[in-house]
Amino acid sequence: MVTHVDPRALALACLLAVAGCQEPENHAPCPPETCGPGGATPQLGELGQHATLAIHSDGRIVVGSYDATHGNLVARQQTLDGLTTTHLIAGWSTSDTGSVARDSGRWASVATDAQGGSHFAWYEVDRGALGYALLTPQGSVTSELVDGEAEGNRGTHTSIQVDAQGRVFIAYRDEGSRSLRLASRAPGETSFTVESIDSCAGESGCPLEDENYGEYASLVLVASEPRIAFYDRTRGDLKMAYKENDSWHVLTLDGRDTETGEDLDDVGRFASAAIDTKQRLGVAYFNATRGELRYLSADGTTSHPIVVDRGVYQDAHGATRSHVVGQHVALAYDAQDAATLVYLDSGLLKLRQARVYGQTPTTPEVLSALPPGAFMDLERDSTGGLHLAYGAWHLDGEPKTTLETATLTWGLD
Amino acid sequence: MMTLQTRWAMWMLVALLCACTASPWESSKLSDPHEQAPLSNGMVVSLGSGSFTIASTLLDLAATERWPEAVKVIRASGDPESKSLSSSPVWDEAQVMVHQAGLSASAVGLELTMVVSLQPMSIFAPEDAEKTCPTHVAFDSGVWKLPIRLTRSKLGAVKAAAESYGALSTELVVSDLGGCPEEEDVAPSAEPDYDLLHDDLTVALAEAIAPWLSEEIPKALGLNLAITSPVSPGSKESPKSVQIDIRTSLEDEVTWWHWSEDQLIVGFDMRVVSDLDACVPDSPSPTIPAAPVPSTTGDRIWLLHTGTVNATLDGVWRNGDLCLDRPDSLSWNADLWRDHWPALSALDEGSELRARLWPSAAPSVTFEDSGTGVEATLEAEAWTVELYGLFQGADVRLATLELDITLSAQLEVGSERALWLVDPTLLITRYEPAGGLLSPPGEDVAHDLVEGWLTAVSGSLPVAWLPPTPQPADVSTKVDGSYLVFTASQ
Repeated sequence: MVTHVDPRALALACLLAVAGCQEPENHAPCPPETCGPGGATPQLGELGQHATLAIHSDGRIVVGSYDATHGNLVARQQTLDGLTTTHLIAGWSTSDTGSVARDSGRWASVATDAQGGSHFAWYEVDRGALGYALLTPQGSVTSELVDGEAEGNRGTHTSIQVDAQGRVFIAYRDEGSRSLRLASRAPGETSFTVESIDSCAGESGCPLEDENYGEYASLVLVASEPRIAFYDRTRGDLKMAYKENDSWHVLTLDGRDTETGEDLDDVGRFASAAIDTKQRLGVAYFNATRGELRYLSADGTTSHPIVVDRGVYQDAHGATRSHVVGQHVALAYDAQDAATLVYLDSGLLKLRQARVYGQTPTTPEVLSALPPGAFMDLERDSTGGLHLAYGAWHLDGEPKTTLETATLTWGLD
Repeated sequence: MMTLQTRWAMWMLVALLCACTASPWESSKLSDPHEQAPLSNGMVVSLGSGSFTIASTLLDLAATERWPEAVKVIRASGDPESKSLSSSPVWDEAQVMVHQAGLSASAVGLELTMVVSLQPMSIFAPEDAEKTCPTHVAFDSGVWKLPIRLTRSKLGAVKAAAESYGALSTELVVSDLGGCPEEEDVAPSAEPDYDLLHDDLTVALAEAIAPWLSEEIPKALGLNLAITSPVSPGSKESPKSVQIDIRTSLEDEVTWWHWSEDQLIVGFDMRVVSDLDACVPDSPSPTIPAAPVPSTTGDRIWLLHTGTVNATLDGVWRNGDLCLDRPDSLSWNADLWRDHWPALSALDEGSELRARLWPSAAPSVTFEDSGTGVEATLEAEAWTVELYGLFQGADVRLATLELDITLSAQLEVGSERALWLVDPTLLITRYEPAGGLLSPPGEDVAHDLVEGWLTAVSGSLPVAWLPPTPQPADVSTKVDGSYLVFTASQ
């Protein structure tokens, strides 16, 4: 089996070169020198960090990224005529007293709706708040703060989804209480409803005084009901929160023997959840203890994690060594419900790709054509194609990051 | 500050014998014997007269603690039809006070001497079946001399055993026989056979005290050294940890202890038991030739075959214990390195610098007299060091260093007989860096960075522990032939 990277997609996604700035509505951020009345080309800094990708039902791709130079959240969106427009989603706002630059766009997440809108969630560093914005098909942006600021420091590790009815769900972390929250809003509602989700999954003595969970939140919707995979740092466990009968429940997916209570490896960082065509949920994640990539299958035949890649190799002396693999993993399913995982080999400094058919992983491959990087996001389009966006590293001298996109295909699949 | 290389070299040296935070003998245990061939006389203990003086004091104290009142001595049960038993005076129980204990040694062997007294007891003539006419006997100052030989348990631990019942020198004090019934049909009692009583008391005394001596004499001499102990830095035992095994030879034909030049010399076999971890290349274990044991005199001397040190290093390496994956002990605050390695400024705020170590060859160490003590020189070749740091939330390889190093340090014995490495100096004999996420650091930079750590580590964790001594002692160190010689002055 051979991995191909669409050469068209290898062109650096300097998607932002084609200006598509729109005048803001309702405090939409846009620095004067980048989106002035004349519609000048935006000045962009280093993109790629906190990359996020979503695909519209008509196949248009929208990519969000944090501009690390200017502290903005920037989006590129394909148009129906094949062009790409660039939008400044957050990081700059105007008021009666002037313009304000803020550090916006870390922990960005994007989702699309049936009407062609693109919904963004991100973390407002300066205000310690969760930001939300809607980019309409016409290119206008409306944004608001959802949670945090006066109430606390909230909004990191966002993950956003929109269901078929247009309800918006955002999972995120409260940095103050080091916990997981979910904000949701139905169409027509003027504000988000925020819920706090506890971490207890049957552990004795839970909750503890020093609970610390909610990092790497990854939200999917199963029949419009939220499922959130997240990392419990206090216990080093991968967990899943789900709602049943209007109550939140939490399961430990890995990291602890639920029968004996035995503490196992430190697992769950970089959790990436996805659903297959049958609406079955799988999770890919990093085992920090062993530096390996794990995956919980969506086919439901077993709850035991699959070690997809241990990163092992033979050195010149015949000894077995290993790379640290699995960080920044992104998971998506193709049309045949085979899981595709793209992740960082941080020893080799390459991207790797692995597939899992049911419970059977294939031999991981190095994506030689792509530079290494982080913040991978992987989505399946309506034809089964897998689209990747990430922050690519360029290692000649001081490492630089650029926003890259690629289309992944496997052999004859 | 010191170099990374020095830090790993120190870490390796720390694994020399048993880099535990406390002496392994403090919680010793002995496993079943291993099939692996041992190094004969891997450790040798040589004891002079001073050790026996101390052993006598310790035995004295131990006896007082064991029998604060008196030793309850019970008449030996034997064949009731035997002539001696049937004709010796009848008694059930005696109370013997132990006043003093002493241990001496000569070419003939070990001898335990105890000063004892017998509290008044009643004896009866064998014909006095109703025990109606007691005789009261006692003695104040008897001397019991018991020949002792060293033995070994089936697991190879040193034990002591009495070679006979010993000799009890005393004069019995006999009280009046008044109070006996004067019945006409009772024949006049014969004089009790006090010689037989004396023999009975000697046998009973030996049977009461000898089992206690089995453990106490080796302990008092500091020969209770048989041990199977994990060799793991931090004293963390795991199912696959390297075990160092010390015990006397289990071979019948081996003379494992002898008396020479007024010294009691006891040899211990040593084994290092380890598995082959996949992280190291498969290679044959080094063979360690046996070497003549140097002739030494002194109160207490330990001789350690230097081959056991290298065997331990090889075992630790072979077991994969030197393959390190970013342990906490190999981490630094990256901010503190940025002046020396500017590329680190690209890392995430608050990032630590961590290391992975892949040693492709086992390290080895040599020892030589430096005039003022012993200098240890450790050589490690073909070691790969990967430096990791946090970049955009991921732990990423920053650079890789291929190294050959030589580390020299003074070996000193501190309090509690801990062996310390003092004033370590490093020589990098090969430095081949390769970039990863960042350009690699220069050799001089790395060297400067680790200097401070070297001082901290070498001053915080001993590389090994000498066996316990019954009493505190100053220990001097030298090299004699293939042995490290540690002499305790008591």
